[in-house]
Amino acid sequence: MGSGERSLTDYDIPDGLLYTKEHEWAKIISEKEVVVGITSYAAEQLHDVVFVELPQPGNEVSQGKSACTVESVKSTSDVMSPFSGKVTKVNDELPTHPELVNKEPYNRGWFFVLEPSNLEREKANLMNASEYRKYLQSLSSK
Amino acid sequence: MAKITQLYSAYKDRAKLTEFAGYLMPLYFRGIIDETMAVRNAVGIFDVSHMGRLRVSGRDSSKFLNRLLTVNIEKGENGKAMYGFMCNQQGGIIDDLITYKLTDELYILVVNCANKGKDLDWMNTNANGMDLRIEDMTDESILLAVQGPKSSEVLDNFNYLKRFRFDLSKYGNDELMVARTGYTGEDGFELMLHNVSHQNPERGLKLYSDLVEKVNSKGGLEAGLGARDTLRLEAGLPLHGQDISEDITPVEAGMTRFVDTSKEYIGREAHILQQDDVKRRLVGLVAYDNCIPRPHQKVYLGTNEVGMVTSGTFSPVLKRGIAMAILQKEALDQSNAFEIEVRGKRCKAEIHQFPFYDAETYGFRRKKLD
Repeated sequence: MGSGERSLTDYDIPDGLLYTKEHEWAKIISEKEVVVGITSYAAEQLHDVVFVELPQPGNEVSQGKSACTVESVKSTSDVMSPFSGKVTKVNDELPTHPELVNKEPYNRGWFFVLEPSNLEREKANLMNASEYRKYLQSLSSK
Repeated sequence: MAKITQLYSAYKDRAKLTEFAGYLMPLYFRGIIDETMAVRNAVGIFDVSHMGRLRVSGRDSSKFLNRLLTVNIEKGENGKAMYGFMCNQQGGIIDDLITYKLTDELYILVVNCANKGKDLDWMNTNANGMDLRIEDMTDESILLAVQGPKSSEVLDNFNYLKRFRFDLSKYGNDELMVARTGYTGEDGFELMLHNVSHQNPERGLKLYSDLVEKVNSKGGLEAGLGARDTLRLEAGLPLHGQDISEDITPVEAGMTRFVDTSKEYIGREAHILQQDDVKRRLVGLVAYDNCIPRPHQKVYLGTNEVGMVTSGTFSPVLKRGIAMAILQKEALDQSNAFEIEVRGKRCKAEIHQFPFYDAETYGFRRKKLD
């Protein structure tokens, strides 16, 4: 239910994914295929996601730059791309079912797939699951 | 350090909290959409104890308030709640408020949390030489809102109250003021329980939990400020500090029905002068193409910038973006279709009357299904 006193250990932060400071996740399927979404922490901060504006397949995106936007009742947020590259596929379910972002942020709530242009070098700028958990803890203790 | 209301401990573990006008308040419990729809279809309960509660008493109370406020206080009978404006000499809105008339010599004013300090300053400035007492009773009372079509089942003892009427009752041995007022567009009640301080909040907490239980039993929910904001915007009710301010008059806000220029009050001359020559108006806009307007976005007619969004949200009832915007009268005379600049792109928006929802389906005027 509510999250007034929710502990950060309650957030689902799957191992095996890479994470950004802006709370996106990236799943490397192959060197040509990376799936991108937002974390359960981001989904809960937004809450009530009502619209998702996806990028166009073919769009070039840059690491740390806005790739698309997500709208909740009260706010609009950018989704920052975890890698540079070209968008190859988008989640067609999201425009009609934006609630998937809240319900299944790591599964059916994915945003887009990209073909990275600088995978190995840019990986160094991202966090693994345990680093991201620590990062969330540092945010809560501020 | 943010302030809290006397009821904070009742919900702090259940609510997602947010800071609003210096108070740590529930933003939502289950979610803004669920809570908005609960109020539209059943009932919701809100802690609104952050709102300022000012007591005005003394022989000159009626005379004082009638000069201070745009509504005709002297015309209203005892037991009436009156919505109106406190304006400056230029006619701008210092605050919008509800005045509860207990007697000719005793009133309670419910004012916006963020404006309470400047309201008190303005009131004291204008109270010189009058037989009058102005007291802030915010920290010694609580205010709850029970809103929605089933609110009359939760407060079934008070169904005799007509809209914008109130009565004094008892909760145990304590005085409880119950009013048929609200900020959602729905039928609803606002309840004020006195003598509930931060040191002794127990009776307030008891009233809150009693009401939450009844609300839940009617299929209703506890609701936060997130739902309160979508509800008031769907109903076309302005929020001071956003849609109305000291720079906007009730004439520009299209709210002259709460202004009585036949009596003397501060700001009257400005309002009379403006009535036939209003340059801009506060209007409602419905957005198209999955676009959600947000405050401060610019509004265009063709290539001309003609105004600004003052409030914007996703409407859970309409399932699209809605907004209040202040637009040039000249542009409004030419067109009812505009464009809002949203993140570098133009999105179509059309003028819509208030309320945004169908008043036969939602709101206090809805057709009752029996």
